[in-house]
Amino acid sequence: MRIIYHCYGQAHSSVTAANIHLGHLPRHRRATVAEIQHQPCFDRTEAHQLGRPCLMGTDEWGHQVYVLGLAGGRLAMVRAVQEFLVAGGVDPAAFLFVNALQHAGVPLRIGGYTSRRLGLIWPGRPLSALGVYLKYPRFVALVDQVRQQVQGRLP
Amino acid sequence: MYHSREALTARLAALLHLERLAGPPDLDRAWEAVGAPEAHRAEGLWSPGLDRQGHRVCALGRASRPEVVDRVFRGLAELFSIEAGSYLLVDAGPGQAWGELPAVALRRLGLGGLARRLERRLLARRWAGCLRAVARARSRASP
Repeated sequence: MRIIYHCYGQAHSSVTAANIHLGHLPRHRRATVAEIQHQPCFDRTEAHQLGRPCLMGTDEWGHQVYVLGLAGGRLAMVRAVQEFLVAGGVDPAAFLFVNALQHAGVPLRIGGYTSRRLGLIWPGRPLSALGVYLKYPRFVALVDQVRQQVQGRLP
Repeated sequence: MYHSREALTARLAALLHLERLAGPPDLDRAWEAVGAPEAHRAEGLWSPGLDRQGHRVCALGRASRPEVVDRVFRGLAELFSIEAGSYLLVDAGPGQAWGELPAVALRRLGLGGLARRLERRLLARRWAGCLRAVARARSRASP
């Protein structure tokens, strides 16, 4: 199965969820702001990469974990993409789209916009990391839910 | 697969492709066929049917930039080994998501008649562009 965490810009929420899923960030305690800021691919996606699924790794059950930025029309796009994949002959059990943006708070959104859109890495990146830190338990809960859902399934 | 920023333009292009709205702009029939934005805003792909060559015609309101849609669909198609020749993405026009917002707001205020007039004007502005998109799609689609 391919697990695809999606968010707006493919730089913060989806990356954090994917890294928690893969064990690059802790699941049993709150990660520090420094750990969040230095996790793989955090706040690194450029505009030309937005929308291209990016493989973050493979989990312990063999599922490939991806991140994907869908910009503005996430809900409509996810539905459309799922219908497109099924129409293309893909088994619906072969993919799982997970909305990682649902737990992004105001600091994360402002930080992400400042860093990625305005190009102001400082203060954008630390503010994004702080935003993730504040909502970290919710990201962990989301990932735990996904992991429970996929743990018995074939990769 | 026709896509536009808001859903109305892509749906208009899909219906023109299927020749359900052929001829001069027929805004009454176009509006009835396309439907009000609120009814379909949260939907995914809208598939009104197959064309003469048997291609399935779809419409998508992407609420995003066209290049993002291209990368998302091409990237996922590649990932799941869907043949590149089995689909065609066509940007139906420079629609803006906010283009339909005044009509949505008016409808919420109970001014449905005025909303409908605004949506018809939107369709009228997009008609020629959609015909060009359809011609482009037909020339690129394999028989």
